[in-house]
Amino acid sequence: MHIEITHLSRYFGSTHAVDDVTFSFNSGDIFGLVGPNGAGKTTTMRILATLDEPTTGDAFLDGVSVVQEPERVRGQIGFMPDSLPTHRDVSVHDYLDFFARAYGLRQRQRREAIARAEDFTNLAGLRHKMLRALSKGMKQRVSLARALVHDPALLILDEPAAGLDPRARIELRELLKALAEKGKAMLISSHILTELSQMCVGAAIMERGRLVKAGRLDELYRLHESADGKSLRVVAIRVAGDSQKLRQMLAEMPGVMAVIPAGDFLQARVQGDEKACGELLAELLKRGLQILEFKQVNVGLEDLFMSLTKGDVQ
Amino acid sequence: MSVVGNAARFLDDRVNPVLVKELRQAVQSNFVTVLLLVYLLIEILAMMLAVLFDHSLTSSLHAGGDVFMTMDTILLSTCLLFVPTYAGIRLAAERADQNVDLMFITTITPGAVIWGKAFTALAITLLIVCVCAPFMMMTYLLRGIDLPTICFVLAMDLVVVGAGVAGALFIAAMPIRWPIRLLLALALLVGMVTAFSLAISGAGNLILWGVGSRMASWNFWIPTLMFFGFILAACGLLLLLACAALAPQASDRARPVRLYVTLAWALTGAACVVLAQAHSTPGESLDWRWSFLQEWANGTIGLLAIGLVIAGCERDVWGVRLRRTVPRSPVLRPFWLVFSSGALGGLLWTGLMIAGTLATLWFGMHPHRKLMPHLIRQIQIDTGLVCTVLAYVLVGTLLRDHVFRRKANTMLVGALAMLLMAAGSLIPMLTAAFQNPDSWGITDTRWLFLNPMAGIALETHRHGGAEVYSMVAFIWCGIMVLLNLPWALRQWRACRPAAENVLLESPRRI
Repeated sequence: MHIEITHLSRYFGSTHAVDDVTFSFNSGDIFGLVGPNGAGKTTTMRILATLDEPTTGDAFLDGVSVVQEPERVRGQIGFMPDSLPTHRDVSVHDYLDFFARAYGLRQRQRREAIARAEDFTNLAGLRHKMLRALSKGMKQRVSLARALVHDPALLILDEPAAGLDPRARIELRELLKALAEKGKAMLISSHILTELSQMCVGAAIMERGRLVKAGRLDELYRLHESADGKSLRVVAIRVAGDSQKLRQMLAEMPGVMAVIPAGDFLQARVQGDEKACGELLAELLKRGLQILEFKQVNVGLEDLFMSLTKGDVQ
Repeated sequence: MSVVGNAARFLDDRVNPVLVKELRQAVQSNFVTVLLLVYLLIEILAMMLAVLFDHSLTSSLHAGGDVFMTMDTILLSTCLLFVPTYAGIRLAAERADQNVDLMFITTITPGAVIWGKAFTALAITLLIVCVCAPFMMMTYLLRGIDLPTICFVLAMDLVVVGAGVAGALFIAAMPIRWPIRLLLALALLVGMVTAFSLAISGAGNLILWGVGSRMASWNFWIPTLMFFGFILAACGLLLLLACAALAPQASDRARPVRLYVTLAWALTGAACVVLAQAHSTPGESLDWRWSFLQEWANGTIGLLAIGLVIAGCERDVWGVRLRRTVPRSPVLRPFWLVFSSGALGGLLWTGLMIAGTLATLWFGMHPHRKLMPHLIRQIQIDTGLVCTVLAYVLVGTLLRDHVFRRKANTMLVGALAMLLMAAGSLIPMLTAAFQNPDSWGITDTRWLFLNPMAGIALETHRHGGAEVYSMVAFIWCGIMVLLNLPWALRQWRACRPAAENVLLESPRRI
């Protein structure tokens, strides 16, 4: 399945919640949607899930428009919103049974689908519990089970790990990886970028409703650029003694965009290519610093996010 | 595998999912259980108090009827207050902008959602009726009421509650803001209070007359069936409108509604004409059989006048999805245009329905010569009303097209039409009242030309001038049609199958 979002915009009065966003991904891909609060991630996901309609633009699942023909794509989409199921007086099993029926699953097919979703999300022991009696983590699992019950080709997960304990978070990550191996396409928004970078093959970075960058992660790292469009490198530096002096020096140097402590190291984002890194090292040595280690480190999603966004909210 | 087992599984698969979920929730809900128990307690108490303390029971010949009326009042007030509110609030909460229930992004159809909700409400009503039916049946033993009357009144209660539920679901499904929804809910409440008082007074009359003694007469069944038929047709329309409100914006929301209204219009119109023609003494004054045709025409014209404003608010550019359904045959295209979602088609369809209604009225009544003056006056009033409303809608369309350059939402057309209608109706009258506080009169034709209700006002006050008013409205409407011809032609030219269409602009949603 090929998922394509083209020039998507959603305005609420004068607020441009999503403004001309375009990106695409395929089956088997876990695609991250990253951005600060109010970046437009949830709105984009809601439109893709056919819960909302765009002001302009469209999104396509294998060429079928979610705006023009939402009924045709709904069977292929599983959406897990950031809000938890709040249905009163419903047990876990009845909740899943309702959605299985709503997706048109019949008898044996329905029973098997529910059992599969319950097993996959470890809910089999809780099937007769009322939804209101569940913890937040358990409700997250129910929400995921509901999104999976009709075996959709595309999963849209809005902050799926929010509020989960570390163990549940690791389990969820493994679950999602397993689903990707089964060929499902996944669009995930999360604020936990380190985790997202461990799962995703691609990402779209949004800020103030606009798309800052989108593509496969390896490409994004390779073509890593600062907000003004220049290439960036990250170097980790360890010096003998107090690193405060090094920090001050780095902060004053032209071409150094940011300095972040990372254990015994200081990580500096340097504008330019390898040559610029060499020049930085030469300059530090010239200034008499006793450098124990100086290495270029791979850029992570977190670095990418920090360098590409300005932290603006709307 | 047994036949019964297979049948049960077949049914289990076909039962509406919303009905299954809602009934499961209702059964497990403490609220519904407590309400039923409290209700049962009230019924038992009412019955006990009547039997124990009303000493006239032993001697009165109307005791059963009196006790039944008390119980029916409790039953109808409870059902009419609780069931539509329960159904409406649940659906409105599920449709809330920021917390739309995920049921709406499954493959379930809007029709299944609305019918599921309606059947759930009906099932809850039946549950409540079943709780009190044994006590109500016992009133037969107290004398003053027969069993057919009890059953008839209970059926009438069900229809009244059903109408309330249909109204509540319609309001809940509409994509409108909360203040407007609340206003509509208040209007529904007023309607339900009126329906309640009418139903209770009707039940009182039925108990007095006794349904059992009238069941053999067509004079009882014809108006009864016509009355219930109209109410059920109106409920069907409300539920269908609710389904249309839940359907995706890109879909052809108007077609099922227009087809249903056309069918209901044809059936009810035919029934009214047959009834009017069955009048045994042509030329006599209007009896109840005539009044059905007259009221049918009045009600239809009133609804279609509202329909004109709604049609004006429809899209004037079709999306790819709709254009794919445009027939390749040029002969079929006008039919597609008239029955598919779109402002021009909507106005044409409403216009045709209005013309059809007036024609039905004419052919139904004209054989009776003594009724001719009355008939001509009514047609003049109806023509004046629809021409004035259409003229306002076309002014709105013209303003949107030229002043707002088609950039504004088409809802603006309806808003402008309503605003201008209010201004055109009030400003001349207020001006006249301020200028000549002593001499101006509400039926003075000069102040009424811009008022769509002018004909009705003139007729009510038995004042002449309806023909002049109709003529002015007709001319005004004709001018507006001519001015809007480019708008209409643009839509007609765009009415081509998607592949042939050159206007591929995507409709802008605001």
